[in-house]
Order: sequence, then structure tokens, then C-alpha cells
Amino acid sequence: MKQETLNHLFSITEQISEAYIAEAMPHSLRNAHKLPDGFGMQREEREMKTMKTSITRYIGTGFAAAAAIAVVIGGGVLIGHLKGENPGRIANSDTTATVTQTTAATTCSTSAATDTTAVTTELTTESTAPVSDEHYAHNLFGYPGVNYCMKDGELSLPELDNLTIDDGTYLYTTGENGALIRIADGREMFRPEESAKADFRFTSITPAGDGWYFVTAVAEPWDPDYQPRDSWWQPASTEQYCWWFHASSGLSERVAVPQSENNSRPVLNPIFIQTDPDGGAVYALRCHETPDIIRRIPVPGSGDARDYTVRMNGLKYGTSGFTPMPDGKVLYLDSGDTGPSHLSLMELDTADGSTRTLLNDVGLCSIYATKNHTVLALKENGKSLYQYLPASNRLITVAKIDYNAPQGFTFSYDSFTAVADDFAVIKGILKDDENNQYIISAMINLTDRTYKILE
Amino acid sequence: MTDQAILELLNRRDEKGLTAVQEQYSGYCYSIAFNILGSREDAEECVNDMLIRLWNAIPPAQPENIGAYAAAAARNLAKNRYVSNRALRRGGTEEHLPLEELVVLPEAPDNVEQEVDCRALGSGLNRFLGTLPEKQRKIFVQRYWFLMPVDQIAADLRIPKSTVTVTLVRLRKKLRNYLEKEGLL
Repeated sequence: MKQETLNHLFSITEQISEAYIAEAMPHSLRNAHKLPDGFGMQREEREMKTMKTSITRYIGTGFAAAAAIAVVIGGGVLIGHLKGENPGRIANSDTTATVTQTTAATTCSTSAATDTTAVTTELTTESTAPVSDEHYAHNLFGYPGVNYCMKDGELSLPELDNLTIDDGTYLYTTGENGALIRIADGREMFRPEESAKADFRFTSITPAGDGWYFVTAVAEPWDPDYQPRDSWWQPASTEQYCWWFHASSGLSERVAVPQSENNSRPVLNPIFIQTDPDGGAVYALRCHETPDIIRRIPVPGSGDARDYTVRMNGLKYGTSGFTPMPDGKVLYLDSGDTGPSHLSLMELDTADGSTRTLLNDVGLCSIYATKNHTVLALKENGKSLYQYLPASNRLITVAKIDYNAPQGFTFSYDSFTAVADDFAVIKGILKDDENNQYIISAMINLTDRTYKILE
Repeated sequence: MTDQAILELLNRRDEKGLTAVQEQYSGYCYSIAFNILGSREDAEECVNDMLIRLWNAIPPAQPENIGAYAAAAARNLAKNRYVSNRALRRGGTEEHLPLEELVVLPEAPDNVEQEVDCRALGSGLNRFLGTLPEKQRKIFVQRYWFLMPVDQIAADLRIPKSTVTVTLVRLRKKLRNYLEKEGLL
């Protein structure tokens, strides 16, 4: 049976009234105090405990105001001082970096008055250590060459240009040899002939399920004035390549790149390529066009790409302006006519291409749905990570990270990304009087709502 | 603990409410999820997700029947996971859900107008269920909402398996006639 039809049947039967459901509740399940035999009790109990802890910290209401829970989380503050003129630049091996690492005592407390977990960070000691490569510090957050790796519950920061995770198979690319390598055994998986071109580099790898990956690359020299934020907005890129690559069979298929009507530049923005949670496709944002277009690109043999026009005129802020949801819905941010500080949350229904406003002028700067479809959002200068609740169409606070900038510095939150299912990373930028940028990042465990500053 | 007591605890953001839901309804929700997913691990995940969803939803939601509400959440979560699992296994063999027997209902909608029809069909289905004797209604709901195997329904209602099967065939036919009469098909 077709998936759409099955969904349809689910939708119809979902509407059966609660009274009939209660009436038909099987006797064997009525007042079931025990889980069925074989249920993983240990695991379940553990998860319940974790969840309850998280909820306690997360909601924080219903408890005495004085009963602020102090949870000391081991952690440290990483201040990556990116020397050189282009702190946002990627993979610049000539640039050295200095990391000031500060051991921190982090206090997490609940508030009785709001649904916010207040988290404060106190700096205690300080040490300095060099790092060999600076590019991970910003690649982590969705600039070209998204770069993060979650393994064994820990975020690692491999010094790789691109990396993606799908069902435990880690793939990465190296800028040096233009091939796509499997981390597990170091095997070369994919080497397109275009990789022989000068300045060839991969720019993204996005899993689409069932072993398929959507891969993008460009052949262009690094722009010395490269600014990551504007790179996709005013790109120098003139040659872009896209492929579908199938990991287990090694098959690959070149995908035609749409050209901008305005300046004939390729328009698939590697930052904004996201997996379709329904499987079998990715969504990509076409930029440099007004209005903006989200393109759904299905895996080979699953039909043609389709464009959806959305109005995202001012999407200069945030690194993840849209996020696909199940059942053909795509949430995205739209500045409308009021400017980027008033970004509204919108919904695109790919069934008919219609769009509607979910939250108006809410000022979100970044949005991302985890694999379990929890929708996370970051408000510009809001210093908080929010969860969007579709059922009630509102935002609730997941975590708030208060960081007191040292004297002479200004601090603002910039973006976040969801890592694996249960972790989100918020990036903040600390600027000094000379406009040098320092990156402060915090990884939030969405399960228990604890966070730690990335070291 | 009564549903009303659980609701009061949840409204006060007292985690004892969640513990009560877990004690009283997690087995129930697990079974629903398992009927859809056929995987113990996935069903466990759905139960945990259901509890989080419940905590996030109440308040403001004030369901009259916590069990049914929790079950609906678990069913929905299991459905989403089933869709996701199925997409990943594309081309492989897969278990058939009892829902597939409901071919009397129309194909998936491909536009907004038909989406509205989906809601109309849901209402029509409820009206149809209202016309049935209690036992037949239970058989239908257990099969197509709880997605229970025929032998489990037979055991629960203490009737022969063949009675369940025959009743379901008749109910599907009756449903089609009813919806046609209402102009929904």
C-alpha cells in the first residue's frame, strides 16, 4: 500500500472519538500496572528517571522557589580566539588559533516563576592551550562544510571539512584529495572526476535514508574576504556540482544544478540542505532569487525535483532557515517586509505549495527539527533555545544560558544546530573593541536539559 | 489513581502525575505502539516520547480520559516512527497493518479540498460507530485503532476468532454503504 494512503487511513482513524477508544480498551490492558513481559524495565526505569530529572529542571514550576536545584556540571568555557583577518574562514591551515580554556563551575537552577531553566556560568580558573586547527570552531555551526560528530554521547570535533552521520555510518570528505571517505575503515567511497579540478572542494553531505547521500561541491578558490555569514548571500561561487551517492552500492548520479535567473550563479545553498524526514529526498534552499524557493530533490528513480516558492526575502540571519517535517510540511522563517529582526515562523505544505503563518514577528533566527521531530528554535538575541509546540502553536523555553561577557566585550547569540537526536549546540559570539571575534558555544542535552560549554 | 487526580497533579506540574500515568498506562500504550511497530525497542521509545508529550501538553490540554489521550499520543508517535522506518526500508519486506484492510476508504488526498474530506470522513466514521452495537464497535476500534491482531481481539472479547473475522468483513461493507449514503464516498 502506498505510504500516502496509509497515512490517510491513519489520519481518518485517528479521529475516532476518545469515548469509543476508552470503551474498546482491551481488558488485558485496563489498569495495566505492569509493562508486558520482556519490556526493558531497566532501560525504561533509567529513561524515566532521566526524563523526570529533565522535566524537573526544565519546567521548574510547582516547586518551591527556594528549592532551586543546584547542579554542578563539569565543564569549561572555550574561547576560541581566531587570529587573522577572517575569523570565519574555513580550513585555512595557515591561520593559527589560540584557545583560552577556562574551567567553569556551572550552576543550573530552576525558577518557580517561569518555565525557563536558568543557567548561569561562573568563571573560576583560566588556562591557555593551543589548537592545531581553527576551522572546527565555526564549521560546527552550519557554515559551508558542516562539521560535527556525535559519538558515544560526546560531541567530537574532527578536523575534517565535511562530515555527516547516518545510521552509524560516518562519511567525511577531505579537501586534500577530493574524495569521500568512510571513517569506520578509511575506505574511499566516492571520487567524482570533477575533483581533479583546481580548488575543488565538497561543501555538504546530506543523508536521505536508505544509504543515499546528497553531495554538493564547488570549484573555486577561497575568497580572502570570505565572510561565512554572507557567503551564500553574495557568493563568489560559479561552479557548483551535486550528486546523489549511494553508500552501499557505490552508485552515483550527477544532479543538475539550477541557475539563478538574476546572475546565472548556481543557487543551491549548501548550508540549507536538509533531509526529508519522510525519506527518499532532501530539501534545498535556492537563494539569490526573489522570492526564494525551496526545492525538494528526490533520490534517483523517485521522480523529479519540485520547487516551492516561499517568501524569504530577508533571510540573512540564522544558519538554518527552514526545517522539513513529516507528512510534507516544511517550517521556515520569513522576514516579510519588516526586516530580519522580525522573522516569522511559517509553514509550507508541499501537498499543494500553500504557505501559512504560524507565529508572526516572533524574531526567530534559527530553526531546526531533530530526528524525532522536536522543533527547536533560537530567538535573535534571546539567549534561549526554544521548543516549538505545533499542537498549541507556541514556543516554550528549553534552556537559557546566561553568559556574562568580560569587561570590554559584547556578547550575542548567533545560531544553533541540532546534533544527532538529543543534542543542540548554541553558538554565541564575543566581540572585543577591535572587533575580534571569539566563539562561545554550549552543547545542550535535550533529554535532561543540562548543558556544557564545549571544550 | 483516578484520571481526575492525575490531571490535577499534572496541572500542578507535579511529577507524581507522570509517574501515575507511567504506572497505569505505559503498558497499554506500549501494546498499541508494538502493534504498529512490531519492535520492542521502538515501542519503548514511543512510550517515553508519549510521556514527554503528555507532560508538555498538560496544561493547557485537559483531556477527560487520560488513558485514551495517552494512547492517542502513543499511536501517533508510533505511526510517525512506522512511516520513518518504512521509508528507510524502502523496497524491503514489511509487515502489513490491519489498517490496510480499510480499502473501503478512499485513496490519499492530493489537494486541500480532499484534505477537508479526510476530516469529514473522520466525522462520518464516528457517526457510523455510533450506530453500531457496543460489541461490534469494540471489534472495529480494537482492530483499526488499537491495530490488534484478530486472535487478541477474540481473546479479549471472549469470542471465536472466526466471529471476529466475519464481523470485520461485515463492518467494512457496512461502513462503505454508510459513507456512500452520506455522500462521503
